[in-house]
Amino acid sequence: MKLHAALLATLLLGGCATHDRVILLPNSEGGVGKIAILRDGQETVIGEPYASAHTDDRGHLDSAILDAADVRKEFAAELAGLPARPITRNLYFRADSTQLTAESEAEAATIINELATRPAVEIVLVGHSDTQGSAEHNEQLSLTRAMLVRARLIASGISAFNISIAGKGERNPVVPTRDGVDEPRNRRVELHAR
Amino acid sequence: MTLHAVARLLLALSLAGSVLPAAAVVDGVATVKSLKGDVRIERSGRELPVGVGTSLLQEDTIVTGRDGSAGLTFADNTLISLGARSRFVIDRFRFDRASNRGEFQSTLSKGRMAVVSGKIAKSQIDAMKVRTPTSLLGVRGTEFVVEADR
Repeated sequence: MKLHAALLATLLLGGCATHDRVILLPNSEGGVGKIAILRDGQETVIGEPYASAHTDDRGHLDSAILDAADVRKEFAAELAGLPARPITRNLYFRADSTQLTAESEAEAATIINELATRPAVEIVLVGHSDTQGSAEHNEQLSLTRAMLVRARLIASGISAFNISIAGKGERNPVVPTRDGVDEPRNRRVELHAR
Repeated sequence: MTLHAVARLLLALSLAGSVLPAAAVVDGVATVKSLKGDVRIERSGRELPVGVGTSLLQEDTIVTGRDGSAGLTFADNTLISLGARSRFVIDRFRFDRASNRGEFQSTLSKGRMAVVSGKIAKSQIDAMKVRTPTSLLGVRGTEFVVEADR
């Protein structure tokens, strides 16, 4: 059946001046999305790994399931050329401190080394605190935490112009608490990079 | 050293002392992350020099030659890898960072590209659309390749 559809598509498309195709791939988490081919208020949806849709200037539309290895080979150059995947990570700090926890310290080293290899990397750092201490103190603390991570990134060779920072104090907790609570999960710098 | 002293020191050490986002992060809709061979950008009828780190704007056209290719990362985290002998136009790109909603329309009039869609495609059905000479694609998720004008 699949072979038949592919053969039919080839026969139908053979003589045309212009034809296009889209091929859906499984995503990095192992799932698969969907593509809708939209025409005259109608839609044809493909939603299986390596499903393809061919269209041409005579208005034909044919779909088929292609062989994974063939697609990967045919589009090897384009797939290899995709930029690095964006990442989001949290780095955690000791209580009322600008020192990273031991665990985050180790993770920070790995992350920073990887980011330093990305061409034209863009990084956003957002510092946060828990609710211990005054709100004003925590504004400063959260911003200083972000600045410290930025200093580490700059030291690894990343341009300061590619890093933006902000401090949100105790205003955006991951774990909401009442005032004056020591909450390690809220003492963090969110790092967004691409 | 007190917290304020640390903050002052870091401010003094930092080249970009303000907390405003860096220009490259804000202005463009995409950043060129990789380049190979012959790649050109056309903006308002003029050809621009292109390098790794170049910011792209809405309505820019990216053209690759026989041996050319380019990797682009968009503000909503969409990734696009443009192959050789390709012509790609950013027709419309709107993205609101706070709500993660937006609209992204582009045209691949010839050539090939690999795409990993980002936050715009996730925000709303068919918020991301790709046009080819004979089709209009509503992107409802993640990874695909397109070939135009074979």
